[in-house]
Amino acid sequence: MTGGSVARLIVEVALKALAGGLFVLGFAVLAEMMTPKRLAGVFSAGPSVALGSLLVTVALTGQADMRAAADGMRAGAAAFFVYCLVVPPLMKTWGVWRAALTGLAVWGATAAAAFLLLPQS
Amino acid sequence: MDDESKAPDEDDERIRLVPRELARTRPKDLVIRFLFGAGVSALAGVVSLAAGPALGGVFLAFPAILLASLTLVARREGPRLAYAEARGSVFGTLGLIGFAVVVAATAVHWPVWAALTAAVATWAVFGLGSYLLSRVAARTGG
Repeated sequence: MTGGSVARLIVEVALKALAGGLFVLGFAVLAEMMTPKRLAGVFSAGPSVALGSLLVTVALTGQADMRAAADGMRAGAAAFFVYCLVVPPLMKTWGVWRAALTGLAVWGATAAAAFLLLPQS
Repeated sequence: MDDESKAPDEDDERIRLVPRELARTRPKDLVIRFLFGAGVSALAGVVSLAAGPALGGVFLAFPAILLASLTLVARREGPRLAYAEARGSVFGTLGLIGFAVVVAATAVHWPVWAALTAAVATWAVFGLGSYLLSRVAARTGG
């Protein structure tokens, strides 16, 4: 791999990070202004990272990669749904940090299973 | 009993957009959210480069942003409001599944702007729609 192509990959990751961070910030600002808090929760599970990342993907590598990323995202989103079912009851007994971190393990296992099981388009 | 002590039973509240709430948010909390978003996006980008865009795409729905939000809300406003936000996020994930399905189905057939607009609209309809339905169901059910 040449120095130029490594630099290009670094720029791609940096642009995705910047775009994802900005979209997350936008959704967070909306969530902060929303009441009730359950409605704010809807925005905490918004497509912020996806929008930033997919826009950079399509600009740099094209629509086929965008579709492939969205294929994978279906598995992540299904796992996120399971995460949101599991974490609130755990929060009552374990507190926020332990519940949320345990939820990440549940997310990982569910996402892996869904990724293997869901047909790719 | 004053109004504040009743606040956490919050689905009786009217839906409002309250810009002044933003003034209560510390800039540091917004920076933390930006960094979580940038970190998750970078992780998805690195996985895409190492293992392909489909596996990288899984991390586009990584719940780290919610984790950041819950811990910040719990610290600032208490565990009951963090719990309420966690319960509400399940509706957002229904929209997120719809978002991903629509992008996967339309990405190579439609212009990018149309595919992403349809996907965001789907997120809003499923996410906000299921939230509103749950409010109606809670009221009519008791």
